[in-house]
Amino acid sequence: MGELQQVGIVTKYELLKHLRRKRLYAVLLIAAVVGFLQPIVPIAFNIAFPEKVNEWASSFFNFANLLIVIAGAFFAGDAISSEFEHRTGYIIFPNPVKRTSLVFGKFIAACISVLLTISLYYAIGVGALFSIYNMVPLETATSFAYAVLYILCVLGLTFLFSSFLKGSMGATLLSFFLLFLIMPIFSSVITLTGTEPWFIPTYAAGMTTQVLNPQEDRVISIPGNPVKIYMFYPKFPISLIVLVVYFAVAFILSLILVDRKDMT
Amino acid sequence: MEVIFTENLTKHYGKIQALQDLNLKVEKGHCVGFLGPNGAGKSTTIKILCGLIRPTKGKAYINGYDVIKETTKVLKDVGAIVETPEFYPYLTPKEILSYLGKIRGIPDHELEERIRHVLQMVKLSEWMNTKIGKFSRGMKQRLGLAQAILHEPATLILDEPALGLDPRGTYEIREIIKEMVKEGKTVFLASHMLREVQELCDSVALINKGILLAYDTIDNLEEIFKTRKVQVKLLKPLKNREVKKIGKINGVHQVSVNGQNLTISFEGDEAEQAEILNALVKNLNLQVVSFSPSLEALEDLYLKLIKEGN
Repeated sequence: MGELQQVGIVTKYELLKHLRRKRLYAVLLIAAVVGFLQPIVPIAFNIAFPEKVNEWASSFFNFANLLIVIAGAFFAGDAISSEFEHRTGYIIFPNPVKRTSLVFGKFIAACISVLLTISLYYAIGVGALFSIYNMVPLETATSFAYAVLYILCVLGLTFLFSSFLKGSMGATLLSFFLLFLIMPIFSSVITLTGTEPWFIPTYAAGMTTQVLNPQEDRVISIPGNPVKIYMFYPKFPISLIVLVVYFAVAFILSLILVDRKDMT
Repeated sequence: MEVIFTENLTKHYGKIQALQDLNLKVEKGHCVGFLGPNGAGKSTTIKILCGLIRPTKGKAYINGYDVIKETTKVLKDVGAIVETPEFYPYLTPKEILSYLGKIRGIPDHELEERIRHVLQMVKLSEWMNTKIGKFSRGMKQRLGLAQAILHEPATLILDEPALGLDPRGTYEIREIIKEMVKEGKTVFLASHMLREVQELCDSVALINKGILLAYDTIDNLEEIFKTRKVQVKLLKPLKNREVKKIGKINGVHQVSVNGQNLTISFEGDEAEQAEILNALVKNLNLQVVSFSPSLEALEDLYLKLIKEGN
């Protein structure tokens, strides 16, 4: 039995887990509800859509990053820690399969699940763009590519938390709050000092909307007030590098930790 | 040929010493009972053997493979139950066994048959398509044994396999393990249930506070520690003078009576036991209904060694 085949088997059963626990359906439902509400609500309340297609697209796909964080925490938060916390590791680890193969299988399954969710959201977005504007900006594909990169980054970090924390809930919450609250707050604080937070992944993930509706960095000075307001926007290629580095470092660390962790 | 071999195996959890310089050799085809009270180091040893934890010091080998460096090779021919098995609650027994069987590379056509067979052995066929989340502890324990024998391993490492089972379940699991021993499999059985060990194993390793106190065949240990006992059931209760006469039989050093049941502690081997039984029938004209080696012997030995160890 080759390692690759084992990874495939683990992936299959992990996907079955996501289906059986109904988390996949829950996240798909969130994606569908938010996706459909965005074009429907303005129509229902007679609110005009922006003139520029890219502007609306940017606003629509802005939610994708939050969706990635929610789905990532859902599918990866307990991927590793639950084997230790719920002692299922006593059944799966004493088998002739490397722990790294188990992690790879779990990672791929989580990736597929989040990708499915994001693909659904992007599909709804593309449908909405076509219905409203009769066109779909080419940059949507680039935005999707950045979203995929952000999925890898979020899952890498969540797998890392799941590897070193004992509880699944802790890993899930840490991942969610770090990516949803702490990092964005940290970015804002750094921005206040006039420094661009290019090294923070949640900031770099802004590329999903930046490619659709590019914005320039700005400094707003208020007359009579020494305080300046800085507005920074993620840039290519540094954001891409940041996302890749976070994913690679976090995932490799997760592999090392799982391999060395005692199943006590 | 030794299947399991440990050399100065040591494990510390922070300041707690779970295992200290454990040296063990388990020969092929033997069933070794690993006895010790809770926290003695039994599970720690088993976890190291299964590659679940790393030793602080020392080496462990199964079939010549290093359990830390060659874990996957080690586990290919090993079936294990470690602590109380927990399974994915959203899967059915059929699905979890299929998962584990596939990971082990059992071909699909063989796997289905093996799953049916092992589930039948552990009496879970009826629940093969029921989600494990609904299972009782005993049912999970049975499933634990099923997954351990699914791939027909030559070596079984079992940690309290009958834990949480009712008497019937305990008996059934014991019978399965007996069958495995008969088939020539090497069994390393951690337990604190003396009956289980006495019935299944030919050798016993006694451990306490991480230190191996004794390791030998049950007969040899009883011989060494002069703890051999036999239980005799008589047709009628004994009179006091008869008890005194039994006490005077050559080799007997203690007699205890409970109604028609008699426990005789003696010195010697099976030949002495035969002579004592013969004397009961021929010399004292007692009507013996049945006799069996007493579990108390092993219990005495166990308690004696644990006490000395403490």
